Amino acid sequence: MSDSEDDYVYDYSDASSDEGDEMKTSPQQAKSPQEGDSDDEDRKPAAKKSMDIRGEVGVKTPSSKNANANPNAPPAHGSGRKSYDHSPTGSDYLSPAKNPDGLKLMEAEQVREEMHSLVCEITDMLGISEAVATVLMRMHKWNKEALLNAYMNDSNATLSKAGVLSKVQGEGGGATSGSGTGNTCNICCDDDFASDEMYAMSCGHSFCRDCWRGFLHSKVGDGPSCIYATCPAAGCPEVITEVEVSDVSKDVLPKFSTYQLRSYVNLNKLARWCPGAGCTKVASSKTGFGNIKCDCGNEFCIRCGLEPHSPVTCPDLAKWEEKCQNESETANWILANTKKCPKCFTRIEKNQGCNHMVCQQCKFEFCWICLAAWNEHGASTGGYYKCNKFASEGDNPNDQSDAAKAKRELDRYLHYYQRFHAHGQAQKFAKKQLAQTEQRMVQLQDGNSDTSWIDVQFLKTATEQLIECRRVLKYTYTFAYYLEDKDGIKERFEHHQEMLEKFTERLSELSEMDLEKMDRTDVVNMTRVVDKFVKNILKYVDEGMDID
Amino acid sequence: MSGIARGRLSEERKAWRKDHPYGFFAKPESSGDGSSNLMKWVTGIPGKADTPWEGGLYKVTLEFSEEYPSKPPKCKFVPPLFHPNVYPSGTICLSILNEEEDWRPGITIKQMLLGIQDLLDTPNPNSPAQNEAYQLFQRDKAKYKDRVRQEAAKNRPQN
Repeated sequence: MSDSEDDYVYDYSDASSDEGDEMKTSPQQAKSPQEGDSDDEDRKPAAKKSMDIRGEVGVKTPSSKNANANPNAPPAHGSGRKSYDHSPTGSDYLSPAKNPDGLKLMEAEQVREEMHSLVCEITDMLGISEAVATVLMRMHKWNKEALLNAYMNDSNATLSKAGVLSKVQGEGGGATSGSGTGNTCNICCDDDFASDEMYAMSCGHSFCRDCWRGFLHSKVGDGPSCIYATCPAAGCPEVITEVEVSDVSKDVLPKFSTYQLRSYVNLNKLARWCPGAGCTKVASSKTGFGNIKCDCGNEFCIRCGLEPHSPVTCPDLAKWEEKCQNESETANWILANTKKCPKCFTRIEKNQGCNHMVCQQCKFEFCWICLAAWNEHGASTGGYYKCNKFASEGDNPNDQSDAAKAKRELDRYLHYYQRFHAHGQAQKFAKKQLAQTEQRMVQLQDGNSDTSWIDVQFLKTATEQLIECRRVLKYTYTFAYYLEDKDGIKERFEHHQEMLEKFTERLSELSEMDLEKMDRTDVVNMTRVVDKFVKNILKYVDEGMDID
Repeated sequence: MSGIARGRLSEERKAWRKDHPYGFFAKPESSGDGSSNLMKWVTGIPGKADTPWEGGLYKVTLEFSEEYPSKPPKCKFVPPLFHPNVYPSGTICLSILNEEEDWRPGITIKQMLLGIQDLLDTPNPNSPAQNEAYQLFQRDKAKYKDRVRQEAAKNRPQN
């Protein structure tokens, strides 16, 4: 997998952002020099080969404050809470080492300023108005070099293509000259307007101010495309800008400018509006890659806007989502309603009540519940029509027919989809759990008078870790679905996956336990263990999967 | 631009009466009681000379909304016409009649009708709207022209 396709920032938290945080491991210091344009530092803990996580993990009591500022400190025994808390916000993105993608969150206002300063550069350079510079920049997707190249090459063509030629060369619009009265508006067709009641852009097509106002209201009401609106005259390419909006219909100017700003961010490959409902913040990165957590709590991938999805690349994820959308109904139905014949592995739908099945393909008679041969059924299974055995599915034979291949492909997809779906559900559940965690933390603290709020933080940390594990696990199945197996990389990947899965289940179990039975040390330990595995698997993918 | 639809349309009516291209007609639909409905026009577009469309007068209705002239009217051949850019319903697919494309409030009824007349003999193969005419136009130009001549014959003016 190419790194340039898939850069992920996994952890850009800052030690200082965590109240009560003590020792922080500094894995990025211990890793080997970065290769290629690979991304995140924190995902490369030193002990990358260590499967023996027990040796790595230790627990300190939260009271032992150890502000270890030494960046060269080995990734030693930290507390249960450490760098996996990847929920940095705003100012946490300062250190370049921790934030190789240069991620930052901006308020809409800051973005507006950024856009304005870009426009001003062009204004100065080309000696044109801000409105014209905005249109030109927008037309060239806010790429200054592209605009300047085109402009130097053929300024008239560039201006005319952008629909601002007469704004630059024309007389300028405003109230039209011409006779004092008796002017005709070609929209409402009234013909007795005084000249100050008329308005034209620099293209000279004049209409009465009422019609202009109506026209702009209608355009802005139509939505974001209003910033591309042109002169109301038939065939005139002159583009409408803030100047005209402000001249004839100031009331829609704020909306117009907002659409302009929106388009600025949308055209920018390095930035993205936070997809969170009602959130107006903008996330940007220097590389166009990275995951960020917005102040509103929404976490997303800058490149595609979806939830962070390492180790899967954005294009693969898009493919997968599309596939699942096309097939999920089918897949769900197949999973819910069919089983495979235990002998020939044809998928069978049971459409009648009896559990005595006869496969249409191979005439094998079997029990729907346990999938064993029907003739083995009898008193030993609790009677012919009862079955206590559990189902197990066999392996596919090496059938090369098209139908068999299609079936195998479907089974393969179902295998990954089932697990992808299961972890997705578990992730949702863990998120619900997180919402209840605070309450549990209060209970836990109440149950023990000398426990501080910091002491019960581990519960929240564990649940957050659990959510992250579920998310990563979910996408490991998408990744594995598209993973080509060569030189045993798939087996190694699946080993990582298996380990992560195993310990995630343990953490899930531990964190859901009754508070009286819960052992803090166990939970903290397990949190650390799974964190290690998450990092291991992502690092394995990041490093191209040939070193292990 | 609300509320100006009727005013604009009555001005369009005046302008049309004063001057309109040869062979065309355009007027508001008359209701049974002798009054007329300014919001729906009935028009006729003649096929250009020296084209297979010649001799036909094609009836087009224009339905205006209260948002006119912000939004274009809906233009339909009645009955639906055999033409690559006319939908089976008769609706015409033409950029100047499309709000998302080149519609402007400044476009007059005269300009619309002339635009539609132009479209007759210069179909746009990039936006097919009906299968029959499009396929024939792409595959067999001679047969297509024959078929158009039949269409023209069907649409000869009555008087």
